[in-house]
Amino acid sequence: MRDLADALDGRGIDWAVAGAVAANNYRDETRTTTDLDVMLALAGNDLAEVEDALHQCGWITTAVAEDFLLRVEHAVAGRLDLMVSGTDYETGAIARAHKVGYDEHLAFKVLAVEDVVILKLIADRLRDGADVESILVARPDFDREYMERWFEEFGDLNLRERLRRIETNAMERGLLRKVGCR
Amino acid sequence: MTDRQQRAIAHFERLGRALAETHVPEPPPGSFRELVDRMCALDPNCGMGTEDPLGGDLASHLAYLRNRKTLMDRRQDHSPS
Repeated sequence: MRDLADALDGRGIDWAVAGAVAANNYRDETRTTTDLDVMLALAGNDLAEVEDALHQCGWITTAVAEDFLLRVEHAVAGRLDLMVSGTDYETGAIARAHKVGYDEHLAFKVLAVEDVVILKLIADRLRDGADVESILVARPDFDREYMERWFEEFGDLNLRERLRRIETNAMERGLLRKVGCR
Repeated sequence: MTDRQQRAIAHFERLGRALAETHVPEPPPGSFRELVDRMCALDPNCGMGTEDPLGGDLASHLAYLRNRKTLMDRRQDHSPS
């Protein structure tokens, strides 16, 4: 994380922890993961420069999906998946992420709960649905107005319906008291 | 649906409700480091990747990318030329 912070913060690149680690921040049962997901807004910076900085610290990088996903591995430190923002929504989500302290020397941003849920609704795999459910059960009070705004914007993806389906299912199984509670 | 299937569904619904009622949430971690420590306690290989270089959460990332691309393409189609 320190290598990543040096490579990104030093270039003025805004970034935030996403994926399972961010989700763990919002649910009441910790789960494990194989890698750390990070979303970054390049804002005119060159991804190759970030790669160079990481190479110098011993990281190996593999471009998995061009301009979107860079898989970064280190023999001791583990694996990072760097996802590059490609929409206004993602750049805004990184900007509104909140900073958490890792220890007394290091702090970094973690995506807000609403954005963790929206990103998982967009991915829309069974496992993503289960992650959304576990967040809903632990934190049903997230900002619905913010989410509604993006549900409208992403109307074609039916995110509102996807969330409603997960909520209804969780309610029927006694995990959630009501749908759409705040 | 057969009687047997209905009984099985009713059984698992009762089981699900019982699990939900007896579930004890973990106390929130005191720091992000504590959260990471909890993850590593569950699995010493947490965050260390997979033997398969294309394993892990890659399928989820690619599903996200595919849906995002669909969305962007549709928005482009709908935008005034």
